[in-house]
Amino acid sequence: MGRSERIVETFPARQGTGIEALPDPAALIVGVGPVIRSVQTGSVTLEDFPATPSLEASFPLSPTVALTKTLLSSVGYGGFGVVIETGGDDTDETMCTCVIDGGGTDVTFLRFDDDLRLVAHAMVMEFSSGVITQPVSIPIALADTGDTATINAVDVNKTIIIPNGVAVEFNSRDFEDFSVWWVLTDSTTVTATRNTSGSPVTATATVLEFL
Amino acid sequence: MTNTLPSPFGTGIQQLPAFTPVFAVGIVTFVESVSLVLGITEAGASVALSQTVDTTRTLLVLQGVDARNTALRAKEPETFSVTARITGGGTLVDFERFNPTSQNPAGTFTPTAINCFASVMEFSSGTVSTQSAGITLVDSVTSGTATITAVDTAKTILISNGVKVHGFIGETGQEYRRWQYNVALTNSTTVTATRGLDGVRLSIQVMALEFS
Repeated sequence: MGRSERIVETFPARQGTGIEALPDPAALIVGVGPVIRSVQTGSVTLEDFPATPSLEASFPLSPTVALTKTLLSSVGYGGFGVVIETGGDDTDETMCTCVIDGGGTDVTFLRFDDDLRLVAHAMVMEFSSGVITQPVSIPIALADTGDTATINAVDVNKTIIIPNGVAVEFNSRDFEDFSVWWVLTDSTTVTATRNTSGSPVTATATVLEFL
Repeated sequence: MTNTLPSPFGTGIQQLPAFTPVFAVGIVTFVESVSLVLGITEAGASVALSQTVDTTRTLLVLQGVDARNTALRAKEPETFSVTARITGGGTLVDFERFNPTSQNPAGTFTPTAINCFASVMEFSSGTVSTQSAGITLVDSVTSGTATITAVDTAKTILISNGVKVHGFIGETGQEYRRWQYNVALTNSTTVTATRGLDGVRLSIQVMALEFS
């Protein structure tokens, strides 16, 4: 009796047919997950009428991050997380974009007017491997209802857009002016669109592709 | 699982690891973008996904809202701010707002349709865990929490899925303080939402995305 015959005898058939049933091939497919390098949470105050006029503020990242491997999430309405500390109903003061700045050293919030104080928050997750991220910033001109950004080609079946906020240049309180929606139009194009052209706005997002 | 084989040398029992062939692929198993028009009388509605997703490993991202133009111009978050959730056991994406009728400070009411956009991304088993959390801030508070199943805070990030604003705010000079907010992962089991001023009820949706 050969060795292979002995093995068959040692493994009784699970389903009584004399042949061992194979697992469902779908159950054997597993993913190779990304590796997390760091997760950081930070915040910064954008002052009202600061002594040195400024429309932006940053908090530092430690460790610094690689822009191509870092997901930015600013958790709040429209992708920017803010707690407004003084009164005001003007969107050029209350609404911000959020970006990773300085090649990976800071998270920066930008607005178009500084007449109220708010605290802006963000989370940053840097991967060692397994993802490619691309930050996008799309200015939409006064007369336009949308615009696009060209990105390095992604696999659209493995990619999702994470909104990171909208800044409004004029004081429009009309949602149709500043409500922006994001679409991955094709493998190299991201589109930000709004309903009506009422104020120039800048919309920011992170394109997150899993390998 | 361990299978027992006779020793090829005829002495004792040799323990061999179970043979489990594994075909490694990327971790994303499904991506779909959906949109839905909430009609002029609809506070909420659902759109079907083309396949059922596992809600314990599926990321949902609210991509934004088309706040359709109205004659009176649209200023009220009760009409134009929405939440998105996966419902129906992983078959639907549900969008909700509080009031389909937009009101301006002069008291003019306009039934208003909006178009809502979201994307879902399902991950393969064992690579990512997702949890959806809803946080309610009642009228009189500026912060509130939701409890989630414990996550590793060093591997977890939060993603915003919108806010439902339960009432008319008006142009008071304070309204943005009342409905704009931040959400933070306070500890491994707590998600906290904070705003600058109370005065209206908020229902906030957030998703915790945890990598293995």
